[in-house]
Amino acid sequence: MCWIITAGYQESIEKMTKISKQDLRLATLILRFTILLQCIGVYFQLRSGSALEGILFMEYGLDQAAAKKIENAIALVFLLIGAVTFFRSGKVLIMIIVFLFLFMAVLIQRQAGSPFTDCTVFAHAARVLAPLGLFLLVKKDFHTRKIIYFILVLGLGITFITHGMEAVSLHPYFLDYLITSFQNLAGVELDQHHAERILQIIGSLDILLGVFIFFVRNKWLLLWMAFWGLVTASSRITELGWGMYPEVLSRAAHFGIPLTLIFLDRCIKKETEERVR
Amino acid sequence: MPKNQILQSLLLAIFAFTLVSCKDKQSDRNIEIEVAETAPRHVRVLWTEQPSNHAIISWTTLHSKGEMHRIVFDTVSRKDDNISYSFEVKSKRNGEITMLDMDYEEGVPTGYFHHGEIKNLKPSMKYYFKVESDGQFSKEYYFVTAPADDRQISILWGGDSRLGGEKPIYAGRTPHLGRQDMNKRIKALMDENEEILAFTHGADYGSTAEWRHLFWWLEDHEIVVGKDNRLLPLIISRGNHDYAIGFQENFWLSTITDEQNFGYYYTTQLSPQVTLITLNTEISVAGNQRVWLEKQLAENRPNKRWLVTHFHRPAYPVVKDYEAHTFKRVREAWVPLFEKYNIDLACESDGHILKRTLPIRNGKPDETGIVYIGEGGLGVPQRTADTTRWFIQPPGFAKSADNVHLIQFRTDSLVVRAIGPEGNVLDYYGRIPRIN
Ligand SMILES: [Fe+2]
Repeated sequence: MCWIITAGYQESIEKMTKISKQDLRLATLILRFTILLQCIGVYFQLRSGSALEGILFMEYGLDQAAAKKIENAIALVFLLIGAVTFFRSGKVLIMIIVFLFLFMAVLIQRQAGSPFTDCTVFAHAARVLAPLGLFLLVKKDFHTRKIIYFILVLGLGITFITHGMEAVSLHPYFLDYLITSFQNLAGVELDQHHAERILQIIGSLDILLGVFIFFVRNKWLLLWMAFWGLVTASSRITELGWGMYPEVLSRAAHFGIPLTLIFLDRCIKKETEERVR
Repeated sequence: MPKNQILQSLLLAIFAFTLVSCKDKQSDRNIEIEVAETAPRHVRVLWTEQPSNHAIISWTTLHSKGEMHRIVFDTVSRKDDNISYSFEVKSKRNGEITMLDMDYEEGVPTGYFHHGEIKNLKPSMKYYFKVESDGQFSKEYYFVTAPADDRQISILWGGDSRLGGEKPIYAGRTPHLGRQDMNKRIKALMDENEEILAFTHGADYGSTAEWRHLFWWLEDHEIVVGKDNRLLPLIISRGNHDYAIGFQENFWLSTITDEQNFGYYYTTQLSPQVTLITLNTEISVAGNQRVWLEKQLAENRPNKRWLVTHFHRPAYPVVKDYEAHTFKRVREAWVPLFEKYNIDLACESDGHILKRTLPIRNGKPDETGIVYIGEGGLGVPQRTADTTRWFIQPPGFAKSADNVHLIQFRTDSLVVRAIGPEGNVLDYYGRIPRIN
């Protein structure tokens, strides 16, 4: 993609029309909010115990209290950076967040100990690439916006495809989200056989959506992905209650990125039209 | 500038990824495996549903799969006379144990699994056996089948034997001293007490079920050979560090593995009055397994004096977050059934601590409720409990100590002792039967 950047276009935001500026502001706002939610979610996840403490204590022989302190400190870093980047554009801070999200994904994958942890880095692509998108969004030229669009699509697509493959492979947690959520929300006893078939259909759709998004730029497709990202992230709550909210927040990119993409795409389209004119 | 920033970001990300993926390359393992050693090793007996008349015998060969593998057995000892055994069965499953790059890097030898089944056994009988791979016989071992009468019996139960030792990062490369100490204690207990029938493992054998971890678990398990080569049959469960294919390869449970693949839940009839239900927290807990569990509880509770369950992830964790999804799903799916059918004891692992909860019903202390013991101490580094949790207030408790539980099923009482590596009794709990 480097050729796009070096093509020499260094347009300033002042050249954009009022409408495309609005779209860009909305996209930026949604992405900032998404990252804030992610950071709050991860803050609570780390506070309640994560792979980090497990690895420090179990593998590196660190005192459990010291491991917990480090974990709490990193939780606080997530929270602080999430809050700061919501209000202002600190490039260094955003890059730290990118690094931390990637770091957490690698740790979970390395520690294993949950179904499909081998895929964690891919499953977390959306939450890792969301702040990278914001990092670049700070640059205000047209071609960088195209790259951001691609980066966010990449994160969203990989996450959808990975979750789709986990669903098709009958991830046991996903099965229980379905079975228990059906019971809790509709009072319907869903047996495992039917839950498995539904999960395979859902998984196949997720894979298709994850692939489509690379080729199709469609508002309705993105809206559906935002809706579906929210529904699947919220399945932890429908299964086990409101106490599961950190699980939903940490997956904010699953619905935040598609919403961001809708406005970013509008902005890019309008700008392209203007350039043609 | 954007080009530079993107490159910087990518480089930083790659650097971070590489940094955390790096592992310690120390190679100070002091247990040498003889390259030429192809005789059967890791000989073990596994119990599943009807241990009074059935057992699985498994072993490993190194370096070579071999052609012919069989078990010879008898109710009398034949010592060095390999041809006088009255019975023989061919192994049912033989295959190469999956090796990953890391297994090769860790220097574990290529291994081959062999599993056979012996059926139509007599209850409370000593069975002497040898395994043979291409003319190489193991030592003669024996085990005792479960009784068909209502005698007093005991089992050992404990979980979590991964990592540990002086340099814990890759136990195995350095000896897992904690696990070895606990295995020595288990051996001592079985030698002291012939009433102990089996060793029930609450899972998380190694950090993964890949060969570099399971190999060393099996090597260490060879400590648990009692007087006159008595073997203590294993009743196994699957934990969150046992996902890898090596688990199915090394712990084959006949039809249970063949039909359920990843399932590993089953009911063991330890005696006519003692039922042990092994559950699997690593698969769906709300689907087929829950339906199956309710059926087992409904069938067993009315006519069994003692009904005990064991599983890996705890419903009532004393270290990790009580509200975490991993534990809450177990609490929501199974605990209502435990309470509905009034099981006598629930055994949990995973937390790396010793605990006994108050009797619990409907999420609060209740004298008629269920006691949960645990939570993993077969040599794994011990954590510290959150002592503020309501369910471990006195007479409940939690303590950081390696442990194995001796569970004694008497006709008039159930007695549980938590025992430390030195043989010291760390906890004592007893209860009377719920039914006459
Ligand atoms: Fe565990």
